[in-house]
Amino acid sequence: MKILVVEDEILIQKSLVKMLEKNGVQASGVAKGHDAIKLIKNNDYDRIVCDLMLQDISGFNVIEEAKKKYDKAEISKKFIIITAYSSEQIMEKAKKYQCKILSKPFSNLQTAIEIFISQ
Amino acid sequence: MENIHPTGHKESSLDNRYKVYCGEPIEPKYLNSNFIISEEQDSADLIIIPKGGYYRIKLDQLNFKIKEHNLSTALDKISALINHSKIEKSTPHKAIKKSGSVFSKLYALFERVDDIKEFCSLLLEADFYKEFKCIHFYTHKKGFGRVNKYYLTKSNISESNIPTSEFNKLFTSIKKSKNGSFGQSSLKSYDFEIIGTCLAKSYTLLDYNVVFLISKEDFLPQRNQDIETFNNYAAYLPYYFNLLLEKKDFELQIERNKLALKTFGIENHKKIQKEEIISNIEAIKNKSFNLFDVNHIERIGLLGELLNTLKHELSNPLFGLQLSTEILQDNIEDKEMLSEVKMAIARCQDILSNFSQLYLVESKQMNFDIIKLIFEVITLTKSRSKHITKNIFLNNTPVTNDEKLIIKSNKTILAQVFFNLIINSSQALDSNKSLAVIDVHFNIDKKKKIFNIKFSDNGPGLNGEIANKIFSPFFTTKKDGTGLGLSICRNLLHKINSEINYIKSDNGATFLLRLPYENTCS
Repeated sequence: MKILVVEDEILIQKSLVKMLEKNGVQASGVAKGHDAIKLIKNNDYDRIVCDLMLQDISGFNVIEEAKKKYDKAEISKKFIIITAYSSEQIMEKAKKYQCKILSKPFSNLQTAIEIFISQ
Repeated sequence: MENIHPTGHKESSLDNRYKVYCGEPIEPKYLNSNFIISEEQDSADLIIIPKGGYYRIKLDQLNFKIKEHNLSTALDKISALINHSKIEKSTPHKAIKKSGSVFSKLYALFERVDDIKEFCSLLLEADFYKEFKCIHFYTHKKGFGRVNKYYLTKSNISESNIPTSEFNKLFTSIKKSKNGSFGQSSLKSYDFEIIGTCLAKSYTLLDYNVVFLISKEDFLPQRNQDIETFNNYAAYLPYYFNLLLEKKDFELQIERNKLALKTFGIENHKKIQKEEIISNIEAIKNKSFNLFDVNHIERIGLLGELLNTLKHELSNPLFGLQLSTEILQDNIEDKEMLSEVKMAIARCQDILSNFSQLYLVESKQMNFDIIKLIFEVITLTKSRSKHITKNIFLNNTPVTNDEKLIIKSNKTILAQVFFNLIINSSQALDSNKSLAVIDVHFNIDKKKKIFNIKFSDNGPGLNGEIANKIFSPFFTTKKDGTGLGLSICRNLLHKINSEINYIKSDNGATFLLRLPYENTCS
């Protein structure tokens, strides 16, 4: 399984990547939205764990760009949104993509990891 | 002098726009922004345009000299002269009068409006901007946590708030851009509901940062001609924005002042002028109140916003720390130290989440565990009250660790009241004894459907005369107190049909809270 972690808080990104690797997953991390878009374009990830508030663009922009490559059903399965700002508006918008949303900090770390690696 | 250009010359930065020449240049900070002072480099005239009038004052007409250091006093004096009709209205300068000039067109709009929203909606109707379909207008008062957003179309105005962080991003990206022209993709990440391309300017005013954004709601690139028109008018806009925003603030200030006066039973002012506000404050001071601070309530509100921002800013890095300790677990030898680190992180996360719950913006009636709440508040007051033993009783029995008492009430309000009472007691107990105690009793009177909460401490207590006044606003015995804590507590509790009273006792101070009790399911 190949997972991309898009997260600009470096400690979170690196830790998640390591934890995923420990669970036997091939994981990599990226901080900038634009870089994430390039990676998604050139690689085939089974899962993309994506933060919303990135420094350059928003996670939603990344998903929008990914739409060029994947259809709606694939997007909803591939992407998992992680966010610290779970305002109503953001939730509404996220629901549109029908992908899973986890709010940071995760209430249970192990469960979160299991969700990330679930097929 | 055919053209009065506020920026002096086209290339100068906006920060120089208030450079005023009345013989010598004056720094912007000395300017009273209720006035526009026109820049006429070669003349010794001062032109003042308060709302609804135009005054041209010859400097030698005044019996005082306007210098950089006394400008604000000088302007106050001038405004007094205008108010007392000592200075005649004059005909606008020919450059202003000359119809068709940018300045005169904007001034004509300005004359017709009372606030910034009306002004913006007139801009949309004006012949020079009529090609545009909508205006987005953001105002951020410096030092405040709130950003107002106005969205105007030809038929509709809507108002909302956006987070300061988003505003700052927008503000900087507009400031950095060369021509102020944006495609949708360049601003899309901010989610500003802008359809198509737009033109934007950001302004640093005296008290505000402002973003002004105008769009045709189409996807065509901006024509050079549009950009030029936009910029021509946009260069003069900050004057009017500043005036209108200042005016609103001034009106708010008057409202607040009236409200404060009402508290003291003074209600005879129909029209309050700036000087009067000062004299009113003097009058109140003479009534021998210790401290007067109308802004305090506003500050409490701001504190809530500030804490929420802080929470958002801190919770991400804390989460990163939490995750990395999980990773380090396997490769570190000193496991004990690591577990200390983990616990410290968990405590920080706890405090942050408690804080934000205390300042929930939406405050509703809900079921919650009041015993847990009091312990949370005690945690938050720890720095002030750690020398004090706190005992919590439920129906006269000390509560055990896992005991719960679910009640239906307003958590935010109760938390603030508890917080206040504990801090008050802690301050009273500070200089006092070595064995300081705060007792909190929860008692349910099921028959009368009343929930009693009794707070008592073993501090010095209050003497009769003081006890009668403690709930009056602005009454305080503390050197740096505002005298608002208990009066706010009482107001908050009134909102949820509850009351708070001081109970006379021989030992220390006791407060009794009476809340309506509803049987909850648990």
